[in-house]
Amino acid sequence: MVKFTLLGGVLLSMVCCCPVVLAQESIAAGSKVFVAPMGGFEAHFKAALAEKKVPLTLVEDRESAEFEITGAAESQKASTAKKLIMHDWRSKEEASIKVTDLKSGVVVFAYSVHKAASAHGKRSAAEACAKNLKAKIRTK
Amino acid sequence: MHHRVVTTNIPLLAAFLMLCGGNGMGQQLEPKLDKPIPRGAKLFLAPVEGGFETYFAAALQQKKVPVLVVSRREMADYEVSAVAETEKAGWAQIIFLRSDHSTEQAGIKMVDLKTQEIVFAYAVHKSFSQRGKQSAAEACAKHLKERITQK
Repeated sequence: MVKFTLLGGVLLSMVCCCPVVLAQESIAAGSKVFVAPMGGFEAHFKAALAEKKVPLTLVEDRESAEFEITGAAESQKASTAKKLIMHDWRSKEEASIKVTDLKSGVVVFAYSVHKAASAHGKRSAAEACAKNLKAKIRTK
Repeated sequence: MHHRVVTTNIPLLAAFLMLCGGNGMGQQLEPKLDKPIPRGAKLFLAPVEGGFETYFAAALQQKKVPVLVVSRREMADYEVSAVAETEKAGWAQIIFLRSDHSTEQAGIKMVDLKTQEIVFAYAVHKSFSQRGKQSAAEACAKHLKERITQK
């Protein structure tokens, strides 16, 4: 009886203590992906997907896609003060993307990047997003 | 005569109104902001100007908040709406403080879609934000996680 109570207690504590890991399903390689407009950032992001060899199939039609990538990006050029005082010509970039499974409506991946002094502008931010997305993709 | 009756009843009426206003017609108003939020709750992130909701989605993942983000409002248990504002560093800040970090402020609120009650709200202000919107979003996510995991 004591053993059963102990076992029950251990199982209950395991259930209670385990963090609920949600939306952890990975994206299968070769999945069809639609990249939604992001104020021009989508072009850099598509180029970054190719550059980083992310194994996804880009489609232009949302209906034929399995996943949709949406996001936002902002770029701030170095001000004159920054150039003169800090001798830094590089821009500040921030971007964020999220990948949604269009069948289930669940957000399966999200990532944001902030580069205080981006060497290659939007391209750097897009490549950071692509690199982290690639790590999420399940290869067969 | 009629006028006199009305004036004599004013103190009684005032006392009644005070009683009604004091305890909400006998019902105790309880704050809903301390209601528990279950693990695995489905959240819908309402679009925000500037795309703060994507930063917040990324922050939820980064901070491992035990929730499920869905893209359709009908599927969700809660809706998170937010406001966010970024103020870029001015020339004076760059010259005198040698810092070009922006000032960020954001506020989120979480509404239970069944009862329409606000169950969580948080506001953050970062004077010298190291990572811009990302920092503000992560602060919101961290506090939401604390709220969900609190016993």
